Amino acid sequence: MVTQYGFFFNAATCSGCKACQVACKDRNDLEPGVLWRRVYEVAGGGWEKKGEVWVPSVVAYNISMACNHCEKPVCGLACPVKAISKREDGIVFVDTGACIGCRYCEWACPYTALRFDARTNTVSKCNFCYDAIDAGGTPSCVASCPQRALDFGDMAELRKKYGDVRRIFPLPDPAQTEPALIIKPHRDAARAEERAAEVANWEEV
Amino acid sequence: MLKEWPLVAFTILGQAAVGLFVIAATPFILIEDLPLSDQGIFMVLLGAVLGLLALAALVSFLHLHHPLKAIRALANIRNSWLSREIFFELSFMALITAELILVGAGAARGLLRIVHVSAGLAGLLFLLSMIKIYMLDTMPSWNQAATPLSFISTSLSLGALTAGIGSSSVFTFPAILLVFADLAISLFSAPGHGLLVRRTGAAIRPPGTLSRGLHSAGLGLEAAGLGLYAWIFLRDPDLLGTNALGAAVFSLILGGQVIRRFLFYGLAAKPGR
Repeated sequence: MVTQYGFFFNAATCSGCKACQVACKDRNDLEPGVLWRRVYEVAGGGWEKKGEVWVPSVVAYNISMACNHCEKPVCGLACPVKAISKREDGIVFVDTGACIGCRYCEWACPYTALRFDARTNTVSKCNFCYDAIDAGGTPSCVASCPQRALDFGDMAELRKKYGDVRRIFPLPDPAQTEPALIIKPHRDAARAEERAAEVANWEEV
Repeated sequence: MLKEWPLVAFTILGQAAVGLFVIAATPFILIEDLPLSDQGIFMVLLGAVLGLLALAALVSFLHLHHPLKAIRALANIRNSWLSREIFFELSFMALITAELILVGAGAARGLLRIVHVSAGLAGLLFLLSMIKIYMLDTMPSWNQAATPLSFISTSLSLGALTAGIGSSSVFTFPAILLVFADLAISLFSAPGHGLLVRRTGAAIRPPGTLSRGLHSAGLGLEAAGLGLYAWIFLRDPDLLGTNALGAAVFSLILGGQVIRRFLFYGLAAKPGR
């Protein structure tokens, strides 16, 4: 029995096509501006001098990110009305019927997974396509990725398959929430911080 | 940033209420034989604290998108500082109401003191909850000493200022010192603006709306209010009170604090729509 579903994301393979983002919006009929999964474009660097030669030091990679269905969901701990709960299989849910729209969970989540939906005046977020999962299917983001940069499954299995890296610049310290996320970092990620890389598409995500 | 005006109003009203209760109402309870005339002032003071809290509670409803379900907000007292904040505010209001009734009924000093200390404790826990709400690991720009320092200094300075201008010149000198402390805290440690603040690193959260010009404007307004206050205090403290000069001092200092509180919320940009 699955005790904690999670996502795997391969930053080395992701081309930033945003098919995952679009598939999620389409499946969940999300309003413009409400993104349950989004692709961050991390960029930085420029040129650096090595001896007498100037060489490019550009850093550029993408991070596809949804709710990480954390083992320690701080959004649920912060919610004053207990509208956010965790299923037995680890999927974190928002009960929009109970949500009062105070939006405190948006501040509490370090991954900005909670999104305000103006149609319902409540917060909403990735629900791991639980109905598809329960029927033996696949989350739409995972199914849509042409590069196979996304995978999902029980965290124990994912760790066996892909290791246990859960942090890539500029994601926060995983100790804060214990995210159910495994990452294969892009080769540029190790140099991103020293080269002052930043998210280049804030207006979009 | 401007969308957060209900939270700006709620926090400032709530903090001013705690400050007014602790600084101005507490001396009354310490006096053994309170004259009848002072008992009236004490009741007005308690009424003012209650009024500020009621206004804060009303304004907080405007922040909610489903205010009719707000009663459920007490459901997560075990984990959520937001639930605790609401609980302690309601407790504070209930205990002040009880104190008002007891003062009116001429209850014994011992009983009044017990209720007063309990109300003060509830008020301080209300202030603590307000601070803890923003001390989030996930928000480095809030999770620093400036948040408790500024909330406490707002509480004490506005409490003393309200007491100083509204009731008695006894509070004028403490109010000047506390407003000065509030200014110094903001000048040196305001997140994103303070002279001693280190820049927070990159995060998966959009950068906030920060305006150095607005921060300077806030500091300038408060400094102007403080200067006017000190000038009047040195020249003739009786010029203050509920007249135009007192209102000008109060408006300038409050205006400065309101601008800086808007900037505080501007640090936390919300992604998406």
